[in-house]
Amino acid sequence: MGKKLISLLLAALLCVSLFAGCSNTKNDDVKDDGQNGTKTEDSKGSDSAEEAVELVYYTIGTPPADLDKVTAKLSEMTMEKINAKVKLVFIDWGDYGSKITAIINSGEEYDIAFAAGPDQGNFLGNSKKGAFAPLDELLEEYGQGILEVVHPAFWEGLTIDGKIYGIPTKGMDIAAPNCWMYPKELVDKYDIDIDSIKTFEDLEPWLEKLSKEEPEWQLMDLDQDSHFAPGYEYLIDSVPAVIAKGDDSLTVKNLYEEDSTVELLNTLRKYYKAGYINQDAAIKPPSGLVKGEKVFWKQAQGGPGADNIWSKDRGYPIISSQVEEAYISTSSTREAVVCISSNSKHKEKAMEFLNLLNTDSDVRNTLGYGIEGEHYELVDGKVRFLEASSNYAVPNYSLGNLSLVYLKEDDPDDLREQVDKINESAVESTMLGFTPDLEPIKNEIAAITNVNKEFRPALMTGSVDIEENLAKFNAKLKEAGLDKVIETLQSQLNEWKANK
Amino acid sequence: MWTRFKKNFGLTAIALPGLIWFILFSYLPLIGIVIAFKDYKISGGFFESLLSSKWVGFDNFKFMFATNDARIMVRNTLLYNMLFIVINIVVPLFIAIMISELLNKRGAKAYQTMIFFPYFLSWVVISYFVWAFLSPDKGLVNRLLVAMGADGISWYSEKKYWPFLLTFFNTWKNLGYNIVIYLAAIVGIDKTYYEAASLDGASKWQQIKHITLPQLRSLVAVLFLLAIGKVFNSDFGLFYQVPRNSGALFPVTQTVDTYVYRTFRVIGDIGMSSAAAALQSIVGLVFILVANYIIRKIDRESALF
Repeated sequence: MGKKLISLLLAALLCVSLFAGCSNTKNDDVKDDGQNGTKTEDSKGSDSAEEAVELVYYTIGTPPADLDKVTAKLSEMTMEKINAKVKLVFIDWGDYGSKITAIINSGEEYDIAFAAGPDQGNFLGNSKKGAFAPLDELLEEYGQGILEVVHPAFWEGLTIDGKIYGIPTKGMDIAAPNCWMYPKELVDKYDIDIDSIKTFEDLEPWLEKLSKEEPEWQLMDLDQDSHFAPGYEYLIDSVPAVIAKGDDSLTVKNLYEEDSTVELLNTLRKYYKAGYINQDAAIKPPSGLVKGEKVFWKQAQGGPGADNIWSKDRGYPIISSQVEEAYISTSSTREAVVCISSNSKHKEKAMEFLNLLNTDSDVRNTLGYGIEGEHYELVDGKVRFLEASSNYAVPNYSLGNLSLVYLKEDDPDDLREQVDKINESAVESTMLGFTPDLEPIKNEIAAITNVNKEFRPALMTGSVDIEENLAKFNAKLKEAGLDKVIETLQSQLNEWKANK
Repeated sequence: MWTRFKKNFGLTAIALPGLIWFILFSYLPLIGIVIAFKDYKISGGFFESLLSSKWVGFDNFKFMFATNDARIMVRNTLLYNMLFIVINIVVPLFIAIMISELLNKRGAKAYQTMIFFPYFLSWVVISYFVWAFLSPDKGLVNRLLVAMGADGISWYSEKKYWPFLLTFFNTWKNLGYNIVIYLAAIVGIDKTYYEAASLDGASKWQQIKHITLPQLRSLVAVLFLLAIGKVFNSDFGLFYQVPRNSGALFPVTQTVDTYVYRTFRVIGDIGMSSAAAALQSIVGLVFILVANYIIRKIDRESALF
């Protein structure tokens, strides 16, 4: 099956690369016809400034029903402003990682793509592989607006081997801290002081009480991807080599040999046995919040305004409290970025468009909310969703400067100020800007990734006996080469620190 | 040569669609094997990138032998496949003969259709069926166990059950398809053999043993050879979807395909994944050649080539 799949894929790639050239020029012709009314046979394929180009933009999210309408409207705006059209393609959450990887590796032509962690476009890996274009000069020339609005810490994190490869879309919202969310109904009923709950231990008395009195609520909702490492920062996702937050000596450690981790796992085990954690946690595929599902506790990254989004998703009021201080790390700067393809023929236009997304309120809000008067209307400068809004419901964090986005009706007026406050109070990682070179430890990472998948879901959901399995896990991590990885990362970190 | 080709043009033309399919989907993609020996970096289109990437020799293959996990996945892949090959020959053969001996032809058709049905289900769908039975809190089996006073079993974290479960699901799904092949062959056996045998007083069992089975020998050999060529590949859906990607089951569900998928879904190194696929093909080829050689020694007629 795997081989067939790969060969099919390769065949598809071949076809795509064979036909890619012709189809693109054809598209340009058609656009030319429509927009300028003159068919320029001789300029076929060339990219003169007058010719309207179509930017292909891949982003993450469930494809909305009214996508065509909104892209048409958007293109109308961008034609006027930068003489370019936009072809927006949404790829659903679960598929984005694998589809964008195939698009990139096949050498398909596109202009802009969303990228984040390894499962969502792999910003780091693809930048290193040469899939994305370095942006320094483009930013200087066409992206002044972006440079103005983006928090400077971002550029440190998004620089890989001396070049900037991505533009953050979270805008000012750099340090989304971990939050724990609860249903307002229960919090009010039992008068729970959620701000005082910071650790799993703090949670225990409430879990105990609610398990007796509210049996129809699922107390804790965990899934295959759940993992907790409060106080630690990962160097590579899926590899448990971490440094403690605030550690100036930058000592790399194995997360699963830390006492606090063992303690945490034991607590989770206790909760699982007591029935607080869903029984299928270790095999439950990760998903968004399910509407109407009665869950007492869940962790998510949030910040000001997040409660409203969660309430909308859940279908009942949610309130949350921040359990960790806001923290700016290399990986937090890379949580949502857009990149320009190194294969793009219209890199300048792409940058101009991204500049619009960060500076032009009309373009930004059309992309984020749809067409004014159809999907939403403005009431006192805030967005009220109209009935058709469900036909264009897209994530906003992944699209560009959030400070341009209109507030929603139920957002607090001072939302932006709250965000600024968090950003100012955020602690910067001691290794902000460090990017590990994975080349010498490629085989080890491949092996560790698998070991991690084998043990982590069961351990981090408390589904198995901790003592026995943790020992096995550590033994297998060592066998897979974790020591070598830690050593290599340590020497890279030392070198980075010395040159800083 | 040309005249012979001309004479057989009609028949050759029938093969054309298949030929085109093979060229497009089996021969052209062979170029991709090159990727396995390169450090694939992107610079322009696919071919451009392919040409400009650095040669790295066998570096991409190393990860498959780097750890103990590699041994486990190779062991699982080979053992499961061997088991499946044997079961998928013996069980369908047995049932096909039973169905062919049924006097009630309408009944035979009904059984055959019922057995064939699961073949058309995708593993994803089956994985949900299985979930309905084995889910830890709401599964049918556990509810039954609890109702009878026993403890529920957390099926998705107990690895000892899964070699049996996986074998069962695989047999259940593929049974119908294999039965059809054997039934077609049994129908094709000359009826006069049986008439002669029954005139001489041979019992049903003797007829099966001395007529049906020997007549089916070539077919079994061909099916065996085709199966053994895929001995290093595994049915991805069976090993990934049905156990719901449960980490606790990796020691018995990890195969080459799932290992490659799990690793590169995250890392996305096309060179290393190509290396794995190339290795699978090469091992398959070696197995086919050896098996064919042995069969040719025993019975020239039954060998593939």
